[in-house]
Amino acid sequence: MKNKSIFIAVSLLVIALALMASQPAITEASVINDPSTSTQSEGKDPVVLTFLKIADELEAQAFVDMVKEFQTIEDGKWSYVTVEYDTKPWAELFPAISRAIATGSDVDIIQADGPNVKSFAYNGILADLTDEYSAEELAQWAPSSVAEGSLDGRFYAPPEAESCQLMWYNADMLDAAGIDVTTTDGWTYGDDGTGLVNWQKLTTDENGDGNPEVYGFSTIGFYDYFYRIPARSNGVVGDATYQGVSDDGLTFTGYFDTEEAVEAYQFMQDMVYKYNIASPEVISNQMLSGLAATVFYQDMIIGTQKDQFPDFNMGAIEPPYFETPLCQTGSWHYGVAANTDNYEEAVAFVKFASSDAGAKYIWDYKNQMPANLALFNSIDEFSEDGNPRALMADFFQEYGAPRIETVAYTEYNTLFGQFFTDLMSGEEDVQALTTEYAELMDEAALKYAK
Amino acid sequence: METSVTTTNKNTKTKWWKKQHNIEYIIGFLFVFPALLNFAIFRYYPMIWSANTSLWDYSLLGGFEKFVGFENYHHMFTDKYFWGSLLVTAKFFLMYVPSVVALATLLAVFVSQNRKGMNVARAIIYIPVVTSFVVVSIIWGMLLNRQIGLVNSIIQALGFDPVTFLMDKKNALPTIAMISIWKNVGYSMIIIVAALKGISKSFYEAAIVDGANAWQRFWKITIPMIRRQLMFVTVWATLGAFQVFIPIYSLTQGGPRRATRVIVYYLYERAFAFGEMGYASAISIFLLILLLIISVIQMRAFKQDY
Repeated sequence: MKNKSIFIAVSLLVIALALMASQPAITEASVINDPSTSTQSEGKDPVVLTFLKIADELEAQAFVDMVKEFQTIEDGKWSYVTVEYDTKPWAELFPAISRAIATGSDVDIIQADGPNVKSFAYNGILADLTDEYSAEELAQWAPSSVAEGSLDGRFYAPPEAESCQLMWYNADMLDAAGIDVTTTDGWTYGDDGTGLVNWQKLTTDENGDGNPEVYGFSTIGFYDYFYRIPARSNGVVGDATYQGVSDDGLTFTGYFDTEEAVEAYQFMQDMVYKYNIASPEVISNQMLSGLAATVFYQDMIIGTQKDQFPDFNMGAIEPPYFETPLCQTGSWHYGVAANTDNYEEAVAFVKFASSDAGAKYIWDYKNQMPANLALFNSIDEFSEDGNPRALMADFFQEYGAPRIETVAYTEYNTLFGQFFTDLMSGEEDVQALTTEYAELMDEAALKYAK
Repeated sequence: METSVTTTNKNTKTKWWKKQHNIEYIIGFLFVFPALLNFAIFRYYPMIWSANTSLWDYSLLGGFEKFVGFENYHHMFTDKYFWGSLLVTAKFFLMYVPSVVALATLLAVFVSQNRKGMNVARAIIYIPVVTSFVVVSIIWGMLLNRQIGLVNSIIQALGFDPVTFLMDKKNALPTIAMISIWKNVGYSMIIIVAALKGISKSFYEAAIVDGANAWQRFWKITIPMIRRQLMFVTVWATLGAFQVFIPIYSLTQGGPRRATRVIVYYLYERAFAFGEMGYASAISIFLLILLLIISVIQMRAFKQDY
């Protein structure tokens, strides 16, 4: 009897454990809206769209309000639709998307960084939305945004936002160093450039230990988004250096490692080891925390400054360059997963999110330059004289260029990060290093030629 | 009537699952069943799946594209970056494992003394074990920063030049090893402390009577008596050394100049950044076999049953 009781008790325990194990695990995903609280649309069953996106608190708040409005448009046609978010840090988003696709997860909408759209489209991850958009609808965004969301003439991913970089500065430090910024023209890189003189003035090493307390120029994350710009700017529009990769996006040798590009990379290294005006290592918020006088960054720095460094006296001028002024454009796009079971709802949400009505929420919370032209034109900050955003908008229109266009962007960006780490660690033969990585990039892109 | 029925039942053949021996067996099995299920689903199935994947041209985005047989293994043995990552792993192993074992033993001997404050010392040494490796890696990254790091402030206060720890190809791997040792030595120490507590004092008393000095007592009594635990710690540290990933992912991403690109990081990179999951699976199977061989050699070296 006793054994029987133990047997039953243990059996129940095992069954309970098995049942617990079979329950869906609690994930990072968070349901913002409960379908049961929404007004149902003509007896349709609730639909929950799963949106795999970057972890961004401000953006998350924007989507809460955006979804609420989405449920009311077209007389509540989509009131039965809610959105669940699966958020990942930037570095983990691409692997997470890959995993989700490979494991057949129920992902309906994917947030893709601009250059990755081509890779996702190439691999059949994104639904082809070409037939969902008229020419008039495509005209609601900047042409560069549409190009970034397309592959081989087909449209896959409407844009969420746009970006461009400026050189932001600590106004008090520039004032103390007697540097004139009444003109907003960008400083020039190079041994004879205007930038070097100014950054040397701004670098302070009061105790003379060779380890400056304040560097003239900030070191930021070693991504193509930032650090490919100096090299590309050492070319002229249309040449190999400026273009950065072959027309088919598969050849880097002869584009990544041109004489002009190597000269630019050499100078970036010299800024650290020869001139000591930049640190070899990345320091978060280096300028805003007083450890550097200038930083090359996009307009999102305004939000960080307002939120975390409200007393910081910040200004901006056009970004530094060698020969051709340049900022790299592009940002997040919305893609509909090719294997979604909720295609109609996902397309409807993506169309709304990228419209001026939806994009407004992203602007309100995140303050990032909209890709939507109607919204962009309605925001005073982009047209006010003296406003850094207006400067950025003008620069974007005149000198903005997409990041290099290749289906092998993920592989390329990984290799670029390694290349720049090696460069900033003081690798002596910059020419050999650049050539080596150009060949590795070619090799990585080769599979897409098959 | 009831008695009669009972008697009748007793006369029939007892069901196998009602036998005392079998009931105990079944109960025991049910206790381990969840763990076995866990192992089967989350350990063995992925291993088998990985072994199968290693024979395919497979990527997460593109799926199983082509059966390639042992081509991924052939590619692996001719890939200079694979051998480079294996060499980096071997260097890390040499820096990490002897340090963890030696330091853990010394710390265990130290904190096992019957002195005031030893419990606090044990806790302090053990705390890093229960903290997140991602978090401590980031904190170490800040501490070691050349411009703003506390460590360099101390180095400069002592009159030395600042050191570039993580962006220097000579310093990066030893720095990662140092952080890993700091993080993990407490676990090994606790294992050895438990072993030391189990050694009877009579051995030492007898040795003292025989005139053995402290070093002789340590070498002739302590070490042999904790040999099993040392074997465990060595094997555990070896497995950790060959699978180190988090501090490298968080701090150096394998650089600079591939100085910290250990085999697991290389595997991760091929799988997720380059979409070569089949090739990455081949590397993981190689690593599995390599670790099995090393573990067997280590256990034989310690002359323990396994």
